Amino acid sequence: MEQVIGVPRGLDYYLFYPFWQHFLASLGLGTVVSPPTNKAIVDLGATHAVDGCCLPLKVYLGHVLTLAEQGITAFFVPRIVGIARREYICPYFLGLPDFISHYLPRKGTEVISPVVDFRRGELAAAKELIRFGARYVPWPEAARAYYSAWLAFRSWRQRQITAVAPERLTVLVLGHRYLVDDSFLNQGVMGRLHQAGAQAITSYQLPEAFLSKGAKRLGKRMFWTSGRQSLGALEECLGKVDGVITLAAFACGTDSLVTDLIQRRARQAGVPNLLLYVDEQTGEAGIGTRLEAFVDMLVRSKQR
Amino acid sequence: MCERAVFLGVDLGSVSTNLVLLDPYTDEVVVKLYLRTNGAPIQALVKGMKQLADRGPWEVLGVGTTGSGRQLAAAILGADVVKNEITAHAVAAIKHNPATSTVIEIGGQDSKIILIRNGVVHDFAMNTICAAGTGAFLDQQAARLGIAIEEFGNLALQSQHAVRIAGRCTVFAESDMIHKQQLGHGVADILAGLCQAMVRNYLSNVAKGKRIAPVVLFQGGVAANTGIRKALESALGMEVEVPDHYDVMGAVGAAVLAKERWTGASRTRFAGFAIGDSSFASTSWECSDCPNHCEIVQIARDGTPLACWGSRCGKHQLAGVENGSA
Repeated sequence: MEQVIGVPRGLDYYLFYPFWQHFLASLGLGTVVSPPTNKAIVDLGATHAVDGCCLPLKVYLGHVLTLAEQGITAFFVPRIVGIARREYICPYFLGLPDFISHYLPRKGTEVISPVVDFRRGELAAAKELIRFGARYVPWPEAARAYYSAWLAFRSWRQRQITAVAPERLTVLVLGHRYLVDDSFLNQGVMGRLHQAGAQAITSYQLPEAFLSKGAKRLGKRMFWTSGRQSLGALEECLGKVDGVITLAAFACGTDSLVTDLIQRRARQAGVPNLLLYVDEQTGEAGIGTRLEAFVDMLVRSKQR
Repeated sequence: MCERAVFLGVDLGSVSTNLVLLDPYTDEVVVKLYLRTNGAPIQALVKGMKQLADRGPWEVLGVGTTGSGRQLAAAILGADVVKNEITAHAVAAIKHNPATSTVIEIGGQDSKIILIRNGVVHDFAMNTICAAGTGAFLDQQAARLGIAIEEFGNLALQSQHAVRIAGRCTVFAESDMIHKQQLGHGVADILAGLCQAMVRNYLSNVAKGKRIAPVVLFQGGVAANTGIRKALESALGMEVEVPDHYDVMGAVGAAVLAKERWTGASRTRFAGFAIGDSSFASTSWECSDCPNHCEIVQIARDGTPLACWGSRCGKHQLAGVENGSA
């Protein structure tokens, strides 16, 4: 009987899903993705997760438990060590499979967790993933699956690069991709910006070379990939955007440092910036009011 | 008697409901009302409208609403402009004194700082997760000490030696105050200490990292408290100006914004003073069409739905008024 693997729509999903979708399908594995984040998922995760962890991790757990409620017994939870050469990401990703296993019954469930480690380059990472694939298909087939998935992933990344119309009011939105792209968690920040007549761009819509170039100008290396991308985007966009919005997750460790660096840099450069904390509370008044006031501010100063 | 032309500005806040009538030619405040919301925003608003009507007759050219209840007020009044509190306060401050650089606003349940450069908002911040050190807490502590909130400031000014109170968290501040009372410190010293603690908290939380430059305006209900004003002045080392209409600046800003929108040819959506005789009811329910379980609110006038909001997906939405972008 063919086993269906549950893919939680959280954390790394937003970074890599097109890759996994291709790769797992080529390995002959059927997948089902959890629904977009909703209140029930957030509540489920927040009730079960340990107090100390960050909101996105709680939400991820909510996605896993939602899949489990649907009768899924195999879960795709990669162990991500690093996604760029000589860089780290949040250590929660490293321990994610262990964290998730803890909340699932030991008997009858399987947590599938290939190791993703780009710290020593693409080749080393590819070897590891092909080795993972070889558990399901013969080795050469796994290698082919990997490369076709990698190509699909690259073209997906390429398609997201967006040109910025300089004459329009432009807001750069920075933050972890799993916050920026999850419109439930961020309470529709992107949509609200569009509604207010602003064009919103994220660091994921900018070419990687562009981000690295900006990051090189920092006084010191930023060793978290997401932080480097955010700060690099900011550096390169100074003078090209009207304002910067930073989305930060409640209780996120890396954000506590990166958001402060973003704010300092923006202040120094005289670019209006707004920090929005995303947490479990469902009240929209907080984000709505701040966003509205921020866009007002940009519009009014542009009119001058 | 001839109807006098005015713009109506309403700030429906958590603690107070403020209404202002603004002269369209001079921008003078013709009438201002500061009412306690007392947890019943609709009643407070209707009561305010009745009081305004009694002092009429008025020809309302345009209506602007602001405050946490701005949508509600807009639905009931038929507003032409609905604006967030930050823009409204900034607009009123610039109107009051074009040289204003910093606006410190402390209201019932939130506090904010607005930095203005060259006549436009340059930067702002609001209190984040915790509402420590806002008006509601002062109200509560005044009640606990058995003094009227109006006397609070003057009593604090009589202090010779302000005691140190922890201001980070109001729960701790309260236990600190009780402790200081038990040690035998006088009420005036404790109040002065509380003022300093609130200012410290404000400056390190809300105004964190912001450059405060004169002219500084202090507005919002808490600006009535002379003790807080003095503590602010000594912490900042500069004069802090409290405008005449400090308590209704949000409403003034809303009226100014309504005037900005007004072209002379445009007709107001204002529902008229007759709303004072109507009965308004709000109903709310949890939509269970999807797992988000949004809380939907519907406002009805004499049984007819006026506006409905609260869903994330846009279902049930019945807009009483478009969100005014300047």
